[in-house]
Amino acid sequence: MNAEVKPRVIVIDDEHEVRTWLKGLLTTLGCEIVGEAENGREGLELFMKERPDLVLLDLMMPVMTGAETRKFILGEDPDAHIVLLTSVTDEKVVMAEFFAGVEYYLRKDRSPDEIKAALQENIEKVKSNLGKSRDNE
Amino acid sequence: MAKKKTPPKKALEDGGEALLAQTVQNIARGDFSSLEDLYALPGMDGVAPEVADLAESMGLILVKLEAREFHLENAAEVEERLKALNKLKDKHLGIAAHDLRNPISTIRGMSHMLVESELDDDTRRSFLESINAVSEQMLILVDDLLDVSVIESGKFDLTQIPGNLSTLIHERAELMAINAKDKDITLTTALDEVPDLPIDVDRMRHVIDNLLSNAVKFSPSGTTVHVSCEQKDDGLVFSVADQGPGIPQKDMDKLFGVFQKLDIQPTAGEKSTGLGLSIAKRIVDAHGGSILVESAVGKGSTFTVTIPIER
Repeated sequence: MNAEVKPRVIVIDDEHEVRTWLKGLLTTLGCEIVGEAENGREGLELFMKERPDLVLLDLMMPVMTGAETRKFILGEDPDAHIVLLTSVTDEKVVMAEFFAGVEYYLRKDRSPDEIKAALQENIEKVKSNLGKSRDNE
Repeated sequence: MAKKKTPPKKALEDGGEALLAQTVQNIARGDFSSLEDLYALPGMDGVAPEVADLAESMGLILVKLEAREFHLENAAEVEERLKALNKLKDKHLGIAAHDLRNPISTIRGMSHMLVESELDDDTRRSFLESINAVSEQMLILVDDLLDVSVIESGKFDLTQIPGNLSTLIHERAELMAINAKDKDITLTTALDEVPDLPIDVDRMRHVIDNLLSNAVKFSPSGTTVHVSCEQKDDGLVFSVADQGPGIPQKDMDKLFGVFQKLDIQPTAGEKSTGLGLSIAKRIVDAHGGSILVESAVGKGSTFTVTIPIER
């Protein structure tokens, strides 16, 4: 059994309070926050600097949208685990992204329990992937 | 029925049939002129009253039909206008709902954790501060929304009383200088003595506050915001100039649009509803004035409001 590994996470969202909330939530779920960014461009730079295990990425942002940022991050690392943060009004955009291969997204406007469960699911996946790559070393 | 002297049938046989046919056709076009000739036919005097009544009734029907047609045309226009307003309302509601969702999700998420989870003191404090800040934001958004919907529905009346723009600006600038100081921004003023003017003081205050707060929001630390007010020809002109990032040409068109937020961000993470300038413009327009902006990327922005003295 591997030692409990703390996934390293970055949060990219243009709203300060959303970042505060998600950082707090991720910490209680056993993650280590290694950085945050308020737009896609900064988020990309942060990703390249920190190479986190998990990225929370807001869809609707100025300067560079979540969709564009995601493409750039995947360009840097095709295996990056990116969870898109959306709201019900972004549904159409998200569906389009799904068809473009997005695997993980999180509705910010769901109930706190559902959000927690969704994040936990993603965190477990990241942990098991980290475990696997450790085994392969 | 009156007693007939000559049976109408006989009168008609004397060439009256054609006239009758013509008369009916004419009446259908709203032309009652050949009725006289019809009445003049021998034997028609007996039935003339009935014909006259019939003609009158037909005439009335025609007039009513014409009136209804006229209203129908108007109705189509009214319907178009209502449809457009409805679409606009839906669009605003959609954007407002979207803008309110994030703050609500945040408050929900944070308060849930405050109740359910073990949080360290720093996290607990920052959550409570955020809930406070976010509630304020939502209140401002809702207030602005109410403002813009009142203004756009055209139901907004100005309460104009004699007011002094320089005095008003001075008062608001003093308040704003405190906020500015927190960001190490200097607020300077050059307010001439100007004559009193009938203005809606509350609304004008709103315009001034919006321009001042935008200038401070988008200015980096260490810069200066300058406010001036003077009389020029037949108007009072006041302007707010900042040394912020400036507005790109491509965004100039949407500047005064509703819910338009540009790519440039407030320099200390402040919030923006995207409604301030659109409300300000409508208020200035309602005073018969104008609001203009001069700006270029890297060169700051100057917003200038002109209010005419004679209106």
